[in-house]
Amino acid sequence: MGRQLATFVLGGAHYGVDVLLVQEALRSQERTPVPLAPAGVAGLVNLRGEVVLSVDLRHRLGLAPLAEDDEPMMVVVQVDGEPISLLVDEVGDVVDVEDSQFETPPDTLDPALRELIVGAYKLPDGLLLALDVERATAQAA
Amino acid sequence: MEDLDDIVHEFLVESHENLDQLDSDLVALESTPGSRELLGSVFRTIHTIKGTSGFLAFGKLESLTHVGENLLVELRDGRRSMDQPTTDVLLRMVDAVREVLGEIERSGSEGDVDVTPVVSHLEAVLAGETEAVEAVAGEAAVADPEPAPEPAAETEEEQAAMTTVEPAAEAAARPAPKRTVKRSAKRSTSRAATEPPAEAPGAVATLTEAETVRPEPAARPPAPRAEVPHPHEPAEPITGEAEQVSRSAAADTSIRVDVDLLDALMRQVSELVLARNAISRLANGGDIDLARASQRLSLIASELQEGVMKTRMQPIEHVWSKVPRMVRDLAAACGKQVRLEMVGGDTELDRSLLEAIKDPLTHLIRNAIDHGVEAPADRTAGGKPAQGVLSLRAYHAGGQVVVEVSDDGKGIDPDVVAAKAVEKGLRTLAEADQMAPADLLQLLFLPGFSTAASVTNVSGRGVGMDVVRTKIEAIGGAVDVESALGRGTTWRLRIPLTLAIMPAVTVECDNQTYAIPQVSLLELVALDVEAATGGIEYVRSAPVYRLRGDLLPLVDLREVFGRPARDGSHATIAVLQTDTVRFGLLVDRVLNTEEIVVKPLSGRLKAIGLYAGATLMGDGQVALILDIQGLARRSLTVDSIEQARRSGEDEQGVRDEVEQVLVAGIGDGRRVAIPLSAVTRLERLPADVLEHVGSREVVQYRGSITPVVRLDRVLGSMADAREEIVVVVYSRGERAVAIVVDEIVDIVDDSQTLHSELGDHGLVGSTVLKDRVTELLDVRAAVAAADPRFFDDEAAAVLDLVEV
Repeated sequence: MGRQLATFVLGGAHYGVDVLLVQEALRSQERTPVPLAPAGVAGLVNLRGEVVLSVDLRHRLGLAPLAEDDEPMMVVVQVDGEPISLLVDEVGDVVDVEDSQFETPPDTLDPALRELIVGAYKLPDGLLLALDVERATAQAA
Repeated sequence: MEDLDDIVHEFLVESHENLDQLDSDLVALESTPGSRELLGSVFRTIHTIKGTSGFLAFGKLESLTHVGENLLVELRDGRRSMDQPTTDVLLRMVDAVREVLGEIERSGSEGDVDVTPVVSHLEAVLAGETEAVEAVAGEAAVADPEPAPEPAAETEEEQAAMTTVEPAAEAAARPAPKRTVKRSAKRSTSRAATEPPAEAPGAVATLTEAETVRPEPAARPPAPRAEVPHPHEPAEPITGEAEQVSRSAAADTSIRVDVDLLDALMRQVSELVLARNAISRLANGGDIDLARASQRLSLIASELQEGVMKTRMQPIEHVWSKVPRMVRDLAAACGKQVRLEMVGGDTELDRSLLEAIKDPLTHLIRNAIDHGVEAPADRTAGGKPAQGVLSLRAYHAGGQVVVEVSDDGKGIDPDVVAAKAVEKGLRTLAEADQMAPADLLQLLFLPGFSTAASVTNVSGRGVGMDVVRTKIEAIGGAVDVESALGRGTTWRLRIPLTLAIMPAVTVECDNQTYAIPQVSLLELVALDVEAATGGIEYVRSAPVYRLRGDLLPLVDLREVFGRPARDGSHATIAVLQTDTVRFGLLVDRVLNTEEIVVKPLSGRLKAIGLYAGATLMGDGQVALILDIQGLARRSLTVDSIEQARRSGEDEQGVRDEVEQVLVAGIGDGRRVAIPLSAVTRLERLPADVLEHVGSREVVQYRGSITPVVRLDRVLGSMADAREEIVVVVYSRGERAVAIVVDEIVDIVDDSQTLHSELGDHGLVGSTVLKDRVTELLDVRAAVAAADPRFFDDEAAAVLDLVEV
């Protein structure tokens, strides 16, 4: 069984989410910060008249924040019927993956990350990490 | 098949509307039996349902409405007059029709709803009535040819006899005046309403029995039941008629529109409003043509917005239409007599809001009848008419709709509320004693509060007013209560006109824009932080501002958000009001007032509890809407405000571990700490303003002679003479004292753990502040040195207490 993943790059690694969840990918826009929001909430953006929550995936994945002058990209995904924008470094292609290429994450992975990374697809040109969108966008406690 | 579904759907929608109307018409008819307009309306409704159900092959519905129609024909033709048993059976029919309709809605067919009991009840009333009339007519023709003026009383009595024997027999035993008869009939109806349908045939069987033990009514002849209007309400039918005319006129010119379509329109208009805001901002640039065009756009957009909003508006009558019946049933169930008054039913509200207030309103009405209005006997004992009055009132006020539910019942006793609050552990006895009656009533809104001594099935399960409040607050409204013991209670709901667009004030804090709903805003106060007078003062560590003499607790938005402190000297206080508290919110500056479109906030942010939603500004930026209730709940508790107020009155109050103090130099390198709570104001005055009264130095300050105390002299130090003196003003009520110091050094937190007992005359000790030994001033002694009588009134007050 194969499926399609929309991919993006975060801190040099490739991540993928089910393409069916992805609404669109676009350049980042100005975000309104939400004071007292859980860490990882990057703010609110105006997506054609809709107020959309923006989640900083770098923070969720324990990566250092992006350099000041680097513009992140937004991947808008549908989670529980609500659009949520994920901040990523770069947007990649949509790739076909096969279940046979899949492997669960190694035991050495940080338990906090095991929550978010379902596993890896062993692709010819590197590993593609499958992200659990729901968990990645859940209330960052 | 699709077509048929559409027809059925339309039929359902239409019938439901008609049935609501029918409910209120029937109840109205009961008190105005002569109104042909009402009767006509009822008849038409049933006839329509009957016709359509026949066409759609809903057999049960048809047979049910058919019998009902027969009964109505008799009423219409004047062969029978409207009374309570007839109303009861007709209402039962309405319920049954509703049930069948509900079943059709669910399953598409009539299902196995059993309508036969209702049908037989209807038939029984029909048959029984005719029989009785004939029997009575036969006798009466012989006994007394004189025409009687009381047709209504007659039928009522007979009907009472039909449903239950006992009250009728009782009524018949005396030559009953009309009033008694009516009451007994009412009693019997209330019982009948709760009785299972199987009762009906049995009751009919006892009819003859009742007839025989009742010589009195038989002697009275039945009146010609035709067009005799009820003698007691000559005015009613006329208003009923007028209403009818306007109603049908409205029906002729209206169309049905799907609510989804309206919602979509509303959204688009919201976007248009945003675009308009953006353009008007751009047009401020100076191009005159652009400005003119933008003005026109602005005008049109406003009108369009108003128009679309109007399409969503519905008169509050839609919710009220169910009330008469509810009140009737409830009053009967509670054994009370209640007259319902409704004023302002044409007040319009957004559809979604109407839905939202339905439950709270129902709760308040139930509550008023169950707990508010007393039993008839108690009322007469208290010198009130036996019949209580429940009034519903709706009107526009200040951009909001106010809905009042008031009763003329026993009112709420604040003492009982206090006792209950203490018993439930919501407040301590001491706290309760301190509270004003109006504040005590607010306790009713706390979760888990119910003053009802016993739990009844109508209300009083302890989930009460807090739910009402939560629901009303959820739509941006507010509830309050007023009550006069023995005279009644008024619950007041304030509801915004619409949910989607609301007027708001935009403010700036830490370079971000936030919106504050105008509803919560009382006023704006511009503040110069650095100015010595009229600035922020502290009650212990709590910042306050004196607003026309009252202490207003302050909440700094920056502090709430955990942002760095304000560097500029200017800030604005937005004075906000929630149900329970008034407080000032410190923001950097106020930007604008505008109509904002409320956008829902992601569920993931709701837990923060500070934001009511988000909105888009004219430039497309997202701005958060502050939830004022949430902000107040988060930043200040009612208790802490109370505490602040109390300690503000008593500077000598218990000290906390950490207290803010004003550090002042008094010459010779000595420093003195004055508790900030004792400082009213700091002033710089030219040295030559000092004048003398006898040997005392005084200063004219704010139009009164204020005694001066030079701290350096009191504490045995020597300050250099300066051209300008620094004065710490300490005031208490009307009196003030000016404490002259050499210079103001700083305001710092003083931790009591560092205190040393080491002191001197005029000091309470010493401590280390900012690495310097600082003397702690005995404010009382210093003040007394300037004005020995300063604390006299306090002593007097203590004496007063002792005397009392």
